[in-house]
Amino acid sequence: MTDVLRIDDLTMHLETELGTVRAVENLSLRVDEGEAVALVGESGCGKSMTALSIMRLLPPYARFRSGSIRVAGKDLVTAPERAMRQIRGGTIGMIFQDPLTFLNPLRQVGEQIAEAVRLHTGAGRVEADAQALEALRRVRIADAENVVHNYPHQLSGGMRQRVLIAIAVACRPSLLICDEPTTALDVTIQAQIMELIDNLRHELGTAVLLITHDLGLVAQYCSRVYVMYAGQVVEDAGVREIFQHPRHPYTQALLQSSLRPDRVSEDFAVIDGQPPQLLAPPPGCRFHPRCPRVFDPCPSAMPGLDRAGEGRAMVRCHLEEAHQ
Amino acid sequence: MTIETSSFTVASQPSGLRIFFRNRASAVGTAVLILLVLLAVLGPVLSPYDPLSIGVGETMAPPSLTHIFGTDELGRDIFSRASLGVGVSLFVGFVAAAMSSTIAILIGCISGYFGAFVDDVLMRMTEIFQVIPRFFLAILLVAFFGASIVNIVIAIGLLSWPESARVIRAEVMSLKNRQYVSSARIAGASTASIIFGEILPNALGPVIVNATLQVGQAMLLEAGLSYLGLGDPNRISLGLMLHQSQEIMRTAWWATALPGSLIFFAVLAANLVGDGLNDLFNPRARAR
Amino acid sequence: MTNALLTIHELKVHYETSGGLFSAGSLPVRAVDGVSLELKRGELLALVGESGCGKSTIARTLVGLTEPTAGDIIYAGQNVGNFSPQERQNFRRSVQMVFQDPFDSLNPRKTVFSTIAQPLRIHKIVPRAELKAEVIRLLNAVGLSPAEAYLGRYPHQFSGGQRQRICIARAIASRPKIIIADEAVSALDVSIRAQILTLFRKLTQELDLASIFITHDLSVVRSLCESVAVMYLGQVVERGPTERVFTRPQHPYTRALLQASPIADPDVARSRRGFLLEGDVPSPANPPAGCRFHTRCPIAQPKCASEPPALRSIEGVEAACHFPEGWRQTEKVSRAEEAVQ
Ligand SMILES: Nc1ncnc2c1ncn2[C@@H]1O[C@H](COP(=O)(O)OP(=O)(O)OP(=O)(O)O)[C@@H](O)[C@H]1O
Ligand SMILES: Nc1ncnc2c1ncn2[C@@H]1O[C@H](COP(=O)(O)OP(=O)(O)OP(=O)(O)O)[C@@H](O)[C@H]1O
Ligand code: SF4
Ligand SMILES: [Mg+2]
Ligand SMILES: [Mg+2]
Repeated sequence: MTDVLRIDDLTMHLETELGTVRAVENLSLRVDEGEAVALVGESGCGKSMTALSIMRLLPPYARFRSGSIRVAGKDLVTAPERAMRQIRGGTIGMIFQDPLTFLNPLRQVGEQIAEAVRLHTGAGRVEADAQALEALRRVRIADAENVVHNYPHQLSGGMRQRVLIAIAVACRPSLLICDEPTTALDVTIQAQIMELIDNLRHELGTAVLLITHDLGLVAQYCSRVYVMYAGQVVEDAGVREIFQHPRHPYTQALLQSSLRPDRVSEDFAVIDGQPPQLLAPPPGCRFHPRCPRVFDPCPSAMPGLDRAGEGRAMVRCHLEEAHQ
Repeated sequence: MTIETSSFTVASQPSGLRIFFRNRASAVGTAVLILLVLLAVLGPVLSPYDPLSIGVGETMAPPSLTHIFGTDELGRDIFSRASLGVGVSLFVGFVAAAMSSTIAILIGCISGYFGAFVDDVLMRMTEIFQVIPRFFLAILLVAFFGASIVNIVIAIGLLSWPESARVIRAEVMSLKNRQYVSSARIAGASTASIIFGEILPNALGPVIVNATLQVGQAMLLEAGLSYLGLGDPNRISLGLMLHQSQEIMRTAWWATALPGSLIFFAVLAANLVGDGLNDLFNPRARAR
Repeated sequence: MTNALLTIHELKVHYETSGGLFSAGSLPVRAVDGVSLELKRGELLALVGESGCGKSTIARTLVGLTEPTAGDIIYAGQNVGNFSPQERQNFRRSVQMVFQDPFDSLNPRKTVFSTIAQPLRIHKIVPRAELKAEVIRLLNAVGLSPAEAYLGRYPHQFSGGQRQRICIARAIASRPKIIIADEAVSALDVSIRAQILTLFRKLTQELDLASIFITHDLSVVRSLCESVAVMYLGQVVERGPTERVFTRPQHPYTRALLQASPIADPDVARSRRGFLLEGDVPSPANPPAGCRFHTRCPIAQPKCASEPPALRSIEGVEAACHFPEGWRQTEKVSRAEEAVQ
């Protein structure tokens, strides 16, 4: 199978006034055609920074330190800005947690979709308008003929997210990056949006990179999972493997502390301590100050991301190394 | 129960002072203000001449080593007079700004916190004060109650609060719905302690910025009044010096230019400091 | 009724939206429209429902931040509406609240000490000389130790989870009987959420607190609360013991909520796909006639559009639906279809 996105050993730092924020470190990630892949982790672990690195929408003080991001034969780390404009919205679509910040409040949503179409396909005005309407229908907006003339503030949160998805998929991208697309929405609306994304993936063959902290969504919609902790991928495995045999102590703890509506947890399994600050991450294994299974090498040596067991899983933990 | 093992450490923000002085303009403004204060305090002590006595030197002598700012048409030492004048200007500026800020805080807080009817009434009143031409009203007040320095300060203070009041009102309106304000209410705090203990400290940024800008404005207003001859005749102010030296402007440029530039520097310095403080309190300037 | 610590009876809270220049004479928002609830001593009651259904409004009314439009609040057998100022003050002290946003609920200019000492001072809980010792005791109780080191710190020096602990310390400072937690863990990460929930459960048991736990996360409810009330558009549509409501929900909306809640287990998650509510929640300023849920209800009948259903007991819970059994029929049909395929 061919990949639509392949990140190899990417390191991206933010050189802020307070020091270097190690937002993404030695991250490797692959998304195959038509596949739904999850990037999960807690707040501040670098998920959004990974997505923004792919789109090259980083703050000016961001610096790529190593690695490559390959999309359609190009390395986005070094691609000129002109090429990036074709990639953004053309080859890769992206939707965000808060749709309102990405919609122009002063323009009708139809116009905004049509503009994206014109920009990337060179279609004429009439053609682009027709495609905008078509795009709104594709995201199951009832009454699309009227909604094209609405302004963003006239729509509900769920509708806005649909409009953003319509813009993102209007040019048939081969990859759709969804950064916490439903965090701001109610559960019943979340279910609608997630179903929509999943259906579009089947209909259009668009691969999906779902960034979330909700393991429930991962379990329901994705086939492979990257677990991120403090700027690094700590585990990379198939969805069943992750949920049935989590290997990294952090993944294990995360699964234990996530509650389920269909099951009573007598006590809430707790990971002690706080997630680390990426300004001054702990030495050695980033998880060692909180890890229940910490042993000799952890505080000093950083474990590599290595194949674990017979499966395809990759784990960044000294325990796995010790097994081999 | 859990105890956070690794205690959370937030790298300290760049300190306020550093941000303030990183802005070169505000650093210069502060330096100039300090110099002016030193001038006002030390000038009369250092200068060997009595600012009031006539003929301490030749008349209309240009700046020289003996009279560094020169002398005026009555042979008075301009440096000693100007240093007194700077003191008066600074006094008027700071006291009037303090007064107008106090009024602004009271009106802004009450209007913003209680909203509804109270807000309507206070805001209409504010608008009235805002549309009155301030300078002319000041002239009227001074003409009516007499041109003592205290009256001038009061007139300026009474006339320059509306803008600050509006800024504070807006700030209070957004702050009063914050959860920590609700928490204080749930804890049973009284209205006064909510306004002055919870809301105001968080709204002080714009108040201070505005007050600093008011300092400059008040100094200008006082100079304007004195220049027109409506100032306190018993106090040497920079405006008064300009007023008295009008006729000799062509022959003795120093008699007007030097006090004039002191006004200029004082007002500029106050504004620079205000801008610097604005950067400091404006979160957008602190981003990154 | 007798052992209820707090009873809300037919509570209504309507917000008058002062019609601005362009929306003169707009309808009031019926944020809470006839809600009755009962909280027993030591009970942990969950209040769930979608955004805007009125959960926070109930909370704000109970702690006195919002005035009720109609209805009664009865505390320990007495109507709060008839309280003297002194009794009212006592009542306020007895009901405390923890808010959602840990970054907004602490005054950035106050130290931890003065934040927690505030309710102690106001209600004169301890003599002045013992203030510091009491604050330290409270900080220790919420797991912030060494407490002495935290006293002089400002909120920005703490993480979200730690701030929420400080908020809990402030809430229990006035020795309340009831704690209302409004989405108190929603903004926290899973690992931190578990810490706070553990603390919350421990404190409510130790201090014998009753509490109303407002959330939109059903998975927390299942493991934390004994009973649950489900709200939709300003009304309670179903209430009862959590176990019952979760395993045998009677109202179609409860069902939809449960179905839409993600489950972190690929096998379970994928086997239960297929039920989606259509459309958005209608505006509380102009709720639908009849059953408020009928515009989105998959089993609605003509009767639903005209007659509002009342809460009634069905199989150990109370639900406001004309056709609770309608559900099982559709479910049977879809099962049968599945079997055929
Ligand atoms: N503009 C920025 N300037 C400096 N540091 C930043 C900036 N944005 C994010 N960071 C830091 O980079 C790290 C990674 O942030 P990122 O936004 O990628 O996290 P995330 O995993 O998306 O978290 P969340 O779940 O909260 O969205 C964090 O430690 C954050 O503090
Ligand atoms: N001060 C107010 N003025 C007017 N309308 C209000 C006010 N506060 C809340 N509302 C409206 O009342 C309704 C109920 O709001 P409330 O905050 O109680 O909902 P909620 O259930 O807590 O929602 P969420 O889950 O989003 O917190 C909403 O439609 C809201 O827009
Ligand atoms: S009363 Fe009717 S519309 Fe309302 S929930 Fe029951 S079946 Fe659905
Ligand atoms: Mg993010
Ligand atoms: Mg709420």
